[in-house]
Order: sequence, then structure tokens, then C-alpha cells
Amino acid sequence: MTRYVLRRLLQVPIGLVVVGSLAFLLIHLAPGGPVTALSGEFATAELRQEIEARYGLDRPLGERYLTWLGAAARGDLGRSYLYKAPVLQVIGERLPATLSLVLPAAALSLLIGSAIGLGSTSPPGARRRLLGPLLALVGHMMPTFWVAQGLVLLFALTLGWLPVQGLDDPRLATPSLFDRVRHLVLPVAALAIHQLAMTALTLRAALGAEVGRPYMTTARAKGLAFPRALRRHALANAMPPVLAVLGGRIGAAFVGAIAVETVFALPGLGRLVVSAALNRDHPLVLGIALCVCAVAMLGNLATDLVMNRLEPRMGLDRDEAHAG
Amino acid sequence: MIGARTVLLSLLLALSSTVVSAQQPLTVVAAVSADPGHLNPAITTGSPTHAVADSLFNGLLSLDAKGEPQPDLAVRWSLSEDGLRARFELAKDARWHDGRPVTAEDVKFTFESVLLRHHARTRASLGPVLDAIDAVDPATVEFRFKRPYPALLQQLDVTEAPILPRHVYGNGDIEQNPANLKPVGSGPFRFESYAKDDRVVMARNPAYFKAGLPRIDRLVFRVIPDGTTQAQALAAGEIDFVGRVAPSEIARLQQSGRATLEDVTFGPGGGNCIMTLGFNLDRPALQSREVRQAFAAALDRRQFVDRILLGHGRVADAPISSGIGWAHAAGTFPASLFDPARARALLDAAGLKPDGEGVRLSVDLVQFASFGRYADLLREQLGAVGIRVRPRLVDPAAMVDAVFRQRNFDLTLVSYCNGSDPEIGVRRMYVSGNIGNIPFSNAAAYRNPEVDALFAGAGSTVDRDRRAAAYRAIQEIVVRDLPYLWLVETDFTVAWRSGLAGFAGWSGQFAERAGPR
Repeated sequence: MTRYVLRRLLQVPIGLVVVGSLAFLLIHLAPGGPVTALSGEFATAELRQEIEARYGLDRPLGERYLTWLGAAARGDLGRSYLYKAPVLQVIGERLPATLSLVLPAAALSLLIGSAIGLGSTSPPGARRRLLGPLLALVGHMMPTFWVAQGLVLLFALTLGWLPVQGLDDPRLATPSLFDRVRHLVLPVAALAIHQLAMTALTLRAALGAEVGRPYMTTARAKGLAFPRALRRHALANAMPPVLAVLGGRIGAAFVGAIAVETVFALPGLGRLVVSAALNRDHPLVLGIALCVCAVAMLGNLATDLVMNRLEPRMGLDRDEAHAG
Repeated sequence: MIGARTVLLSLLLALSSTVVSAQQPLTVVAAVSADPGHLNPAITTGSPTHAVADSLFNGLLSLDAKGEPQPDLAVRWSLSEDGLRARFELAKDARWHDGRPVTAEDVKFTFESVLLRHHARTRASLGPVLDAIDAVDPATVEFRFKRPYPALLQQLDVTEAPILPRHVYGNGDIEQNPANLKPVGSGPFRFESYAKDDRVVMARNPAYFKAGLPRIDRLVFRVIPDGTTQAQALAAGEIDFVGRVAPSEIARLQQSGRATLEDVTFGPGGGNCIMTLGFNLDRPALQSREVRQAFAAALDRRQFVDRILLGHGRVADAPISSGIGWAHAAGTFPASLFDPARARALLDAAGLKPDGEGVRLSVDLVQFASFGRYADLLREQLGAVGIRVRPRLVDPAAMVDAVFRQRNFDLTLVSYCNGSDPEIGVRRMYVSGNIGNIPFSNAAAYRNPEVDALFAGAGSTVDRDRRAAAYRAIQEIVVRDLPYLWLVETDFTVAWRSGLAGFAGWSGQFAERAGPR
């Protein structure tokens, strides 16, 4: 087990080098550079050259790649061109907003998605219950910014129950916890609506495979009602694929956050990556790519470890069994 | 006994002060579309920085809604007869936010060490003509010029030339100065805090040198990237000011009844903007004047006003904006040029006959993705006469690269802001010295020695009649040559919460005089 974890941890730096190098190539393949964003309009050719020299943009690409790689290996991701601050600091400042959005949304989608999955699983031979999964699918297919706008129109503008945007009310000297929670309701809901179909459908499929098993027949023969048997016996067996899907979608959660953070004007990582890419803020784009990659890889490892606890048959304890 | 009295007195004082503070301090929340990145307006012309940081600083002069100079740090100014000297007298009680006085040395330092190096526009405009700046005495500064420079007074406001304190910004590399994130200025508001991509908070400067100003206690800038969200937040009363309302949101705000809207021709960092279609004159197919005239005849520019600007603008009836009234040659490029039959005839005459699908000419159009509605209408109207347009909608960095560096485009769409003087925002579009890797300059690669000479003449005299004559001649020539098609003059719509008043939507320092109605 320890050897397995160590091996997986050793893969992280390799993955980072690969992702970092690809991202480096991609961002430099994109036409244009950061100079216009840095100088503003009207910059003369001379001024542009000065700025390029200042940020080392006049050096050959190979040299810049090696310089960046060397520094990154020592944990130095450089300074953001635009924010004029260390990349890790810039990313760290955006983390709270994104986490306060992504974590509750993940919990909510897991909870509601599980409820839909459970509720829509019918006993063998009974009529299929499709309404819940169908609604979840509709929520998944609608563009997130569209869902977000719809929520704002209804709950903020028409009913006036909740605020349109922001993390808190900037007119308050010290924002209360209540105020912050109020501001998070709509963005979290918008993101959760997008995500819950994954949990609902995966769980429904996994439960479907369980309902015909002999242990379910036994449970029901003992007199347990179907929903109760489902929750007490089938759910635990059906959870591993749900967790696997959830763990594998950590990267996707950030993508969903882009639209939600834009519509609700939240200062998170999703918006940061957009503005970094638009402004060709190379160190920042690369830093975000590395961080998201590291989180995704560690998240996958954590998921695998949890699943191994739930499902010892995966056999992570037998070191030779898996290549990861 | 004395002790008891003191206690009583201080208690009364404390009470009265709570009464004062109970009188709700006025916070104004303004929306901005992008994070400023840093708060030093002297080292960039980027509008995200200026939209926020201009409220912390002052220029030597300010500009009124018509673009005419008004006092700011300088209370009096005079120009010499020959146009070679300009003298400014600074306000006696102007102080930096740390309490030190604003001096002529600060002005000299700001221009010489910062603006003429790092502020792209001021470097391009004043750099070549400025001879020296002298601090005559602590309150007097004099600019000396190599030749008369007519647009000087239009280029000294807080957006073009914010003045910085030398004792804060004078040491080391200014790009790395910590004050860029914790600025010290002289402006109506003092910096309080900056949370990136979220908000910048400022407080009233109690020692501001203009008596009775500002009237707002706290000014908060909220970064709200989406135009729809900005309008919704204003309609819901969450914010108080939107500097640039998207045309599609104007009707919604008017209906909400909670906002006051005003059209202005100026915004911080640019004004008198003309949405302009540029031809790449390096492309053989576009080198024929008849072909370019066909484009002009194919476009019904009134549709751009009606369908895209929703009435918030005008057909551009001359190459120079009507906002610079004395230089604008009205009617030289009239809306009545629209004549699709003539467009087809011109294309026929140029030998561009329709092929099997009715296509005479196929061109690409490289432009900002954010101007997508223009691309749709251009494609529709040009398509009607057999010119097929393939839009390439890209982000700003890619557009600058394709158009100005690689010159890989047929048509491009640029919002050229003329500014308050043709010397600032018109000359750069036409003079041959501005062809090349200079963003938003001579995109067409237009070369005409006569036009070059006329601009040189108009830019080196302060005689407005002579200048007006030169600009009229230039406009007649470029309308004949058509390196560009001037589509529409675009207005900015500013909106603020009803109940407030005094916003200067055209200025970087928009909140200096704002307050309760």
C-alpha cells in the first residue's frame, strides 16, 4: 500500500512536467503577446521592444522554456506580468472564492444527485422512473451561464430574495456570515444544477446493476421495503463508481466555475485563467495549469484510496496488481 | 471637580460625534469591467487601470464635457505667443495623501522619468516635441518645446498625464515599485484596500485641495466583467455607477426606473470614437480605389446606428469626429453614399463579375470578437452586392498580432478614438511613419506624402484657423482615397443610481463632484 502511494506520488512531478511543457507550447503558439495588455494602446515600436526586453520576451523560445522549467523545478513559478506579483500568491488569493463555490456545489450535487439516483431506481420488473434523471440531464445540458442568468432573473430581480452578484455587500463595513451565505446561494445552485446529473445517472446505473442481485432478494424477503433495502445494502456497493466519476471531474469543476464566476462576478480561479489567457500572462497561465494538474492528480489518488477502503477487491494493497 | 467636568464634556463630545457618524456615511459602488492589475496610471494607458486609479490622482488640468481644459493641480496657465513655452501655476494647498506638498519638482519628475518613458500615448505625443521641463519655483513649472505643439492642453488631464509624488515613486525601477499596489496620490480619494478581481476601496480625502470636495465618503470599485450583470446589479440597487452601459442593457435600465442614464462622447482614455473599417492596402485586390468606393456604396451605415448602437451614436459623416467641432469637415462622407446599384457597377467596372454563386470578391475581416455584431451586419450588407466576407473573430492580443505585426488581413474593424484633438487620435491613422508594429495606428498602411505634410503643418502651429484648413484638406483627400470607411460615431452611455448626481462620466476622475442629488 505504502509503495503504491509512493509510486503514485512520484508520478505527480512527471505529470506536471508533461502538462507544463504542453501548456508552455500552447500559450506560445497563440498569436500575440502580453505587450499590448501591459502598455495599453498606442505603444510605439520602441516602447514595445523595451517591454519585451524587460520581461525576457525577446529571448528565443527554447531558452525561455528552459529558464521557466528550471525555475519551476525549484518551486519558483515566476511573477505575473499583469498583476506584478508572484504567481503562487496571485493564485492563492483567488482560491477562497473558488473553493467556497466549488466545494458546496460538489456536496450539494452529491447529495441531491444521490437522492435522484436512489429515488429513480425501481424494483426489478416495476415501471421505470425517469422524471428525476431527465430533469437532471436537462440541468446538465443547459449552458451554465444561461442557468445562472435564469436564476438571477427569477430570484434576484423578479422576487428580490437574493443578490445579483458578488461575494458580499461592499457597503457593509464588516460583512456578516449571513450576508456571505446569501451571496453564495445562486452561484452554488447554478454550478450544482450543472453537476448533479453526473452523480444521479452514475448512481442510478450502478444501483440498477445491484437491484437484481441475490442479496437484494434476500433483504426484501426478510421484509425490508425496497427503498430501505436500496439504501442499506445496495448504496454502499454502488458508491465506488460515483466517487470515481466525482474524483475524475475535479478539473471539470474549475471549467464550470469559469461561467459562474463571470456571471456572478466572483473573484475566483476560473475568471483568473480567462484573463490570464486573454492578456497572454504566460507565467500565470502556466502556474494555474500546474496547480490544477497537481490538484487533479492528488484528487484522483485520494479517490482511489477511498475507493480501496470501500471496495477492497480493487486490491491496491497488493502492490503488484496495479500499474495505477 | 475639573475632572468631572472634563469627563462630562468628553462624554458630550463623544455623543455628538456618534450623532454625526450616525448620519449614514455615503458609499458609492462603481462597476468596472476588468481588474486594474495595478494602480499606477502613469505607467500604462490600459483602461482597466485608469478606470480605477484616476480617482486617486490629479492631472495639471482637467477636461470638461466638451474637452476644454479646466484647472486641476494647475490653477493658472499661460502659453507664450510663439507657442514654444507653457507655464503652469500649481494650487498652493495641494497635498499628497501622506501630507507632503505637491511641488513643481514632482511634475518635472513625473513627466521626465515616468510619463515620457512608460505612458504610451504621452510618450508618442509629447516625447518628440518636448525640449525641457523647468521647475521655476516650488509652485511654478514651465514646459519648453522644440516646435509649437497645439494639443498640449488636451493632454494634461489625469488620464493622459497623472502627476505622481517623487518621494514615493522616485526610487528604483518604477515597474516594481510597491506603491503601484498601494498608491499615494493627491486626488479626491485615498487608497484603502485592493482585493484582486474583486474590489478596490477608497476613502474620502479629507485634506483635498478643492474646498467642499469630494462629497462621497467611500468609493468602492467592484470588478464585474459581464455587462448584463452590471446592469442587473444597478437595477437591483447593489451598485451605484456603471461607466459604460452595453447598448443592449440600456432599455432594461430605463424601465427599472432606478437609474439615470446619460450619453457622453468621452470615456477615460479615449473619446470621440469612430468605428472604422480598414482596408489592407498591401492586398492587390483592395488597391483599386473603385473597389473601395464599391464597399462605401454597399454600406447602409444608418443600419449600424439603428441595429447595433440602438440610437446611441451617429453616422460618421466625415473622417474626423463631430466631437472636435472645429476640425470636423461635416458632410465630406455623407450617409447618402449608400447605393447598392452603384456598388455593383463599380465592381463590374473593376472587372469583378459574379461567379456561379454570385460572389465577386472574397475577403476576410480580422477584428475583436466583442465587435461581433458589426461583423454580422458587414457580412450581410457587403454580401448583398457580391462581396463575401469571412469574419475572423479573435481576442485583442491575436488581433493586434494579425493586423499590426503580421499584416495578415484584408479588412479590419477598429474603434479609433479621435480624442479631443486630431493630433492625438487622428494623425496616427494616416501618417506613413505609423505603419508597422504599432497597435491601433495606421492599419491600412496608407501612404500619401501630401497628407503627411498637411499633418506635420497642422501639428506644429497653434493657429487654429490654419489647423482647421489643413484638417479639412486632409479629410477631402482621405475621403477620395478611402484607406478606411468611417462607419459610425459611437457614444458611451453612463448610468448611475437615481438619487445621486454630479458624475463626470467622460472623465477618469468621474466621482470628484458626485454626491446626493
